[in-house]
Amino acid sequence: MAILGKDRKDDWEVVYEGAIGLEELYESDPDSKGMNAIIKGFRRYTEKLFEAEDEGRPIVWHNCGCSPELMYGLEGVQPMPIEVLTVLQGLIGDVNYNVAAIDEAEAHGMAPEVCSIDKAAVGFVLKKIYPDPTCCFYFNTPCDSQIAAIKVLTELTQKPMRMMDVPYLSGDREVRYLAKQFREAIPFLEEHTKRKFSWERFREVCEESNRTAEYLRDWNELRRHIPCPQASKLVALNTALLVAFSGDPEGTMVARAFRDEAKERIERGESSIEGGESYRAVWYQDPVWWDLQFYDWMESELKLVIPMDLFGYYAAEALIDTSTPESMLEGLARKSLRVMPMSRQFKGPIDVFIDDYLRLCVDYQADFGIFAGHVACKHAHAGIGLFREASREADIPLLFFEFDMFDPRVTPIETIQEYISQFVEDVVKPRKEAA
Amino acid sequence: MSNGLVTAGIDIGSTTSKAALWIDEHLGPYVIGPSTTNPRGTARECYEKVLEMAGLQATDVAYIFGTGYGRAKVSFADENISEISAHGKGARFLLPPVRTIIDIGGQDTKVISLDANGEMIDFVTNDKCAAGTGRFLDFIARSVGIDVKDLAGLHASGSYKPVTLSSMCSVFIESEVINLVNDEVPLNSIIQGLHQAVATRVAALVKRIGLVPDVVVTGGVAKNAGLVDELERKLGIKVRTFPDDIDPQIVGAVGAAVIARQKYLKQNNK
Repeated sequence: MAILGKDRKDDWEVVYEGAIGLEELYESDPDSKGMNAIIKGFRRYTEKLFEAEDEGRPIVWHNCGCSPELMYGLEGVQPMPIEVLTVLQGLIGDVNYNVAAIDEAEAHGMAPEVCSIDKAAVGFVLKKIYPDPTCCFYFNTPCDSQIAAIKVLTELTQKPMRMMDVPYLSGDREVRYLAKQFREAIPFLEEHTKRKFSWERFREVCEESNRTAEYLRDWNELRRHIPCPQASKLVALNTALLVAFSGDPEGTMVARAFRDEAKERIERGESSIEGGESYRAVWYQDPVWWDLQFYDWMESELKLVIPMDLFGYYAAEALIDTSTPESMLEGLARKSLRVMPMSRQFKGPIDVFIDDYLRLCVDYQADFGIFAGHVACKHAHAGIGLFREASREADIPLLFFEFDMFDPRVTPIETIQEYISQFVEDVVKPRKEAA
Repeated sequence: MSNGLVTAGIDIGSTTSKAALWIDEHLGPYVIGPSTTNPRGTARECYEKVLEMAGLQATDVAYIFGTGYGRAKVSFADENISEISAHGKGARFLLPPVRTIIDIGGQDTKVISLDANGEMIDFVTNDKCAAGTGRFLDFIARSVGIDVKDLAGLHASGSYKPVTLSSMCSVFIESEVINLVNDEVPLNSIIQGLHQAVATRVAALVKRIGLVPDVVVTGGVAKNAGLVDELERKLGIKVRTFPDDIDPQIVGAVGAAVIARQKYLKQNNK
């Protein structure tokens, strides 16, 4: 399917066709306002990317640890997360394109231990699927795997690159340290994009980002409701929303739709699960992005709902103070360090990772937790002993299993289903009955 | 004819099949027999035998739960339940302070963790690899020409000098053991080394879930005192044992019978 009237690479056309098809499917469903909005957002994002390419506007690559507001401060610049196609293929396209890209990267010499999202990004670059960047603006977070991939991408593209050094801790000193780097990055971005950075534009972008944040905060609150008003899979999409759309009116549109749908369904007394929910779980670590129907299976077969996960959780402190240039840079730094999913939890002491989980279990009244261990997230796996200990002390049953969030070959969906069914049957159900 | 409430648990495992009766608040008779290629028939045979031992008719039994790998084949059961739940419940009823249950069966190893109220809070299984299971010990024993029942005795004989077995794959370890035999390494040292290797693997599984005393070992391998001894060394704690009249292999069937009783009472608002 042509995009903006032109034939593009197959990989993109599959995604675009997927978005159009799903939009048609969800548009006729009045109860899928949130899903419809994000699908529309994905389609619009794809169009905007190719609009920029067709118009010769600068495209700046960034990674998922980076919130894109600063780049939107330069007029006409289109940010592009290097993970974008992998995520879109997983969610709305064809996961086989990701598998092929992963194999391509491994054949090129990427270590198998590197995260599949990063390997796929390298694979897509090797296959010349991505629009060329003018320059690249990366964060050395959320994990070492990203840094490995960024090095390879820099070698492959030979484009100018600026890497933000995101500190281990996230106190005020670290916020200032990162904000200083943002300020220093502005001349770099101006030089290579040939676009002027405007503080006024940046203020508008931050205000837009704040509007998105406020909707997401309300939405996080509404999902605490029992029964959970919306489908489990929506929470898994929030990170995609933040990485691709922070500071973009499209992001606010999606966040508002998430919020409105939850609010309206609560007012109508509707549950995400037909016949009512039996179990609630906090899904921690990474979502199964290569099979969103898996969430429908949990709901219909087990009556299990995921009111919140690590990717959907939107911590406080997301609001950027727009009063001065310095406050905006510091606000963005604070958001990068303390709010962005994964970046918040995977840097610094493991306490944040565990405390967030325990708080979510309480706030969302979870019967149990699911630690879905994406195999490449070694930083998270390293803490599993402490994680289990904390869960035990809090008397919250914890299911732990390993899988790959972008490569279905590692743990097939049937195996994941078996893990969850067995745990519900053997641990969760008897405990609920005994309570 | 019994005056009390009688329930039954039938555990069809990969190697052995078990049936147990729970009469009022107590364990009644139980049987253990080999599993066959006809699990339906085996289940029926075990059940009839245990009824005969108790002097009961099938109509005296209020509720039956099947468990184990062949649970779906217990056609006369009212319901079935996973062996994990059955072992958790059985161990708790037979040995109330227990918090961690290590079940080493013919085909897999499970570690089950109970909370202070006896409710299961977690479990972990090793079901992808034969090493560390009863079948593995059986296989190695046969390859050196001894009966699996003699492993414990050999472990305890002579001085304690376990050899280090570097392989953990059951295929490679067989060659390693045969080489040691050919090198005239004392058999008791080889068996001690074998138990040590299995205990290391099981202890790693226990540590994954978290070691909370009291700990008990169930399943056929629990009868191997040499392995239990090595497990105690690895875990650094004393493992609890069941009273002499309770075979550790029967725990799953007992758990199923207890669950059957609870279900029956609940259904009848008693």
